[in-house]
Amino acid sequence: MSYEELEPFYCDAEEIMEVSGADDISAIIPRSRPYPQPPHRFSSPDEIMKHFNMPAARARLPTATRPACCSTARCHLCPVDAKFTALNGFRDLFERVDILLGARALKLETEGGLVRSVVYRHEDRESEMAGEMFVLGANTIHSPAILLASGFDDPLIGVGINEQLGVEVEALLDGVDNFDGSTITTGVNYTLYDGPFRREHAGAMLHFENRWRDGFRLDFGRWRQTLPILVVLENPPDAGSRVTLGSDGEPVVAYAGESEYCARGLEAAQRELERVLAPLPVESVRWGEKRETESHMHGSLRMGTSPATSVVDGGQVHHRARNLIVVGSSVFPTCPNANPSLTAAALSLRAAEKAYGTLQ
Amino acid sequence: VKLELSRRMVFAGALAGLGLASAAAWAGLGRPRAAIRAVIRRNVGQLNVPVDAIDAFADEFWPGLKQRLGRKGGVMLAMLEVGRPLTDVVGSRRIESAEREIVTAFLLGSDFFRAGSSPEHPISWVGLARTCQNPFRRG
Repeated sequence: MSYEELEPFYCDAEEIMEVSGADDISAIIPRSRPYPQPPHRFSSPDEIMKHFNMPAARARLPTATRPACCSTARCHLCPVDAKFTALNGFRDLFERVDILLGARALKLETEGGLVRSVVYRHEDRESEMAGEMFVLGANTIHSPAILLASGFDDPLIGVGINEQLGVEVEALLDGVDNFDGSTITTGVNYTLYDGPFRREHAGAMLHFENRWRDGFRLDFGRWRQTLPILVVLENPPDAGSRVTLGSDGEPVVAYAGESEYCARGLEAAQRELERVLAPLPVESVRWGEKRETESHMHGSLRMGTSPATSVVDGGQVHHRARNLIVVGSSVFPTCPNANPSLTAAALSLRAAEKAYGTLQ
Repeated sequence: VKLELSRRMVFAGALAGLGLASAAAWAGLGRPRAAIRAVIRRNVGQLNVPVDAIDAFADEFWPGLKQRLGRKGGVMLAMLEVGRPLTDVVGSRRIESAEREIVTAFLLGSDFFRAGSSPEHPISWVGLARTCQNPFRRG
């Protein structure tokens, strides 16, 4: 699958999610359509850095179902509902489908190589629902767990689960105030993102943050002269990382940690950051801890052309059970250093089109 | 032997009582207020900060901080109250982090920035801000 094939689906997903962004980013990531929403306002450090705007599903302008982002920086649960969610973005859809809240899918029943039904628990009672087509999107841990519980014996189910490595950095600035941008992260820096160096070490995305992650500075009157940066590195799949089922039937994750490739990428970022920050009046740089998780997991049901090296095909259909589509970042064959949500959405739209034709 | 045991028991009892009293002092309302007053005065004492505003902030802020600090809360409070000389010995980064958190929450939850950031303005405590709390955001 080429980027050119996926690109229209990125645009479709952006329109559904009403993503904000600036079209000059096409110098790095080619695009065929403008962003649905104008870009967020840069913070002052981003203006000095002449960054690209970070595309965001946090509304820059009010939409029919969402107010504009007010830069509260509490995005895990937006207090004003400015961030796209299925709940605020798919209201029309909810009128046309039935959703069984509080139900947990336990396993798929198969017959003749096809999935015939899903067994689920709802209000302490197990039930079964038959169907013709099944879409599995239960996240990178539970999707493989459901297949394992269903007796699928593909050798690569759960194998290679991976996630990015995030490391926090704080740059103390001389005379430049931060936090005046219009959403949580307004600028993205691609200096260490891609290039021939990726033969040797991981690429990194640098998020310049418009939030007081580390708190204000304690120097009187210079409270905002601090720039939190998040360095996010790609981390390739490792066969030693996998999802299995425990004796209680619940998923168990064994994680090999970051690779040598990723560790070399971090060393390179540590060497290069001073050069990257050269446009800013930086007093000092403090490298923080590695984050426990980026909450961006991938690769436990990877897509590919062969059942020997993957679980689903290029259309995200299971290689043998041809009425089972897997969606979500579990199908990613590699670990990106960018946030995976839009790619997961674009792939889902593409998989739906392949299965059912152009969607209305 | 009976007398010795009794003395030991009295001594152990006294020690336990002292420990409990100390623990109670660290965990009680008085100590958090004192520590948070010290942090605010040390870092933004140049501003016009009435003690009532600090105490109102402390009463609202401390339960959450206590939960985040866990068992080390008492020790952290003591170090926050004393100031930096002690913090250079143990966990200076964690103390600095807590101090920054306190100053940030206080300034953002007060009317200081919204009243124009004037050092003369008598600061009022408004409340721990949770939504649309960024007073620096440009339109």
